[in-house]
Amino acid sequence: MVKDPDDIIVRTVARFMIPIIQLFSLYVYVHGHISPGGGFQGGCILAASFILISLAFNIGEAKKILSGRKNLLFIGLGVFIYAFTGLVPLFVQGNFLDYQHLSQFLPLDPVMARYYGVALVELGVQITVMAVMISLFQDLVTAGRHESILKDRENGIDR
Amino acid sequence: MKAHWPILIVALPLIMSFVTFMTGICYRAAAYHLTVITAAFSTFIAICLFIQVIVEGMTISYHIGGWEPPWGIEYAVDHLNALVLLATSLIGLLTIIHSRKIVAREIGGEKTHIFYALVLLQITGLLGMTVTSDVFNLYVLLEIASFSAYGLIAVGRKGAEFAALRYMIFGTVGAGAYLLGVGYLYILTGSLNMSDLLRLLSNLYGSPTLLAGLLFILLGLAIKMAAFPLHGWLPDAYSQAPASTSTLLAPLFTKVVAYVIIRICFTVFHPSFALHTYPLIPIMGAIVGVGIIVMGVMAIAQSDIRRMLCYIVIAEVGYIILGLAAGNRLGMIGAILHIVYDMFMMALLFNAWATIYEHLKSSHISAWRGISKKYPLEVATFILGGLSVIGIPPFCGFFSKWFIILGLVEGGKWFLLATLLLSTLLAAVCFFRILEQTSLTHGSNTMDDRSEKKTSLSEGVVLASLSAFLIILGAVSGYLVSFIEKIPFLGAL
Repeated sequence: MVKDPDDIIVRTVARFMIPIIQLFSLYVYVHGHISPGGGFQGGCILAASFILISLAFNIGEAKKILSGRKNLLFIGLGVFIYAFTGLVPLFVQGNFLDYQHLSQFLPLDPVMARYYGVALVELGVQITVMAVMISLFQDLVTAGRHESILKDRENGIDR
Repeated sequence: MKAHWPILIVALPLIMSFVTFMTGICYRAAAYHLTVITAAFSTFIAICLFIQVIVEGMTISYHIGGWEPPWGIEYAVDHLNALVLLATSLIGLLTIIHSRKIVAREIGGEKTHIFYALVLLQITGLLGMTVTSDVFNLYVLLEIASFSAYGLIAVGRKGAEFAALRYMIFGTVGAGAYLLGVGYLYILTGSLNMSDLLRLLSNLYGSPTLLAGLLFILLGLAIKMAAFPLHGWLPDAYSQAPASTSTLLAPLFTKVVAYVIIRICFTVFHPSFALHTYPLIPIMGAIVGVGIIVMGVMAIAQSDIRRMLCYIVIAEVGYIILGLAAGNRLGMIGAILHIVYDMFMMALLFNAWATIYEHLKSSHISAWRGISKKYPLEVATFILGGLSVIGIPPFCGFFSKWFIILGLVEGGKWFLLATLLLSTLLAAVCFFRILEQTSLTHGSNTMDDRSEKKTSLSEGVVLASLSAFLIILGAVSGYLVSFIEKIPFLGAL
């Protein structure tokens, strides 16, 4: 049985780093339109912070913060935000993903409406990418068994 | 809303796929109903688009995000893809209805909603590939369709994971080759829009880069459509997959990719480029011509009926290439007609097979001995599909094959004509063997009547309507031909 890492230095550094990584992911997300970055990159960085939790502590700690079911919900939610934002302009004589028409019911001029429309879509991308990355990582480290591996550990079964 | 049909036919299955996935986490029983409603709505949109194309008689163009075509992504529906859209969405709907019980037994429990989410994603990809008018967007949708197909296949019985992995490796190489080809075109022209590419490429036809680009694109698509020497993944993937997956994938996927080949070779490039300047399509036709005979022999050699059908699928896709290789109007009409008709024929064959397989729990030909007494209607629909594949006149398979043969005669391609006729003979041997085993032989298997199951009403209705379609499509093929003749590029041949 693999023991949980019990290294005070790793844990302390991780505790210190995780909020910074998450803040940085938001920075990458918001700055996507003027610098390299955006939803995909931001989502990857956000997922890295969760993966760091499972590496420095253990997979159970990470699961307590974000359970497998919630994670799966996030995968769907992100794409839903994307597609729904795209569909909204259809109701106000716009084309699919034509956000400038959002200005018709939001207090924004068309240029800013496009700006915020893209930001919303990228938010969807960020959520989905984060959830998929975490899901991939957890699939690999638990051999696809997720929560059941934790129960086995508690009962001292080593597979 | 009417103006938005071209995007809604793709966006709705996409969004509903994830809605199905999310509701499935909490309430699994809704997955089937959501899927059927979405597929029905896609079919409704496809019918509306089809009627709109007939009435307006011109291309319906849609600009995503309001960006003008050469810069933004354009979705376009014309005479060519309105037909394919209608057939794809209709068969998707019928297959989903048919396989409800089979999915419940095969996939069952925890994975049902994930399966249905993948089914909707598959339909998204197929419809998107058909409707898009942007070569890079086409790549993305091709990958959506392919990746959901890998997932759908991998949930099958033992051995399916390996078949899916093999398919994934083949498929990724194919998609990579296609993307490389698109990259070449992009370097040459700086555009990804199909009609814009046609305009920009007109004075570049001497360029070796262009030839390399088309070669890579054709190679990639040939792998995806399982054209003869590159078909290795198909029999394993489709025969190891769950029955409910193969009924969905086998009729649709390869045919939609065949449509993409027509779209790229004849509307992105000038039709004479791939036919005469560099005879790529005739060369492909010659290879596939040998292939359809090999596939016919392989089909006869199979004792598993689903595997036999898989080889028939490869041979049938070959006919489409033969029609294109004829290089004239008639052959082209035959090829396009065959894409649509073959979808219906394969849908009937695979669905009838799945129904019988559900009863017998065996696909081995020996288990099918004398079953026509027990399951007369199911066997009859299967045989009917077989007769249509062979090309017996009242059924639709005859008409598309007839046009391909006329095209080959007119083009003087006697070798291809000989292979086509020989392959027809081999298909006849295949299906008459099954006819003989199921109907003319007395059953040696003494299954007790308690294990006998009834085909449910919805399954029966789907099989009956697919059989009816084979006859109706045959009857209206004159109208379809006059519809297909309005495709602009046919005038350039």
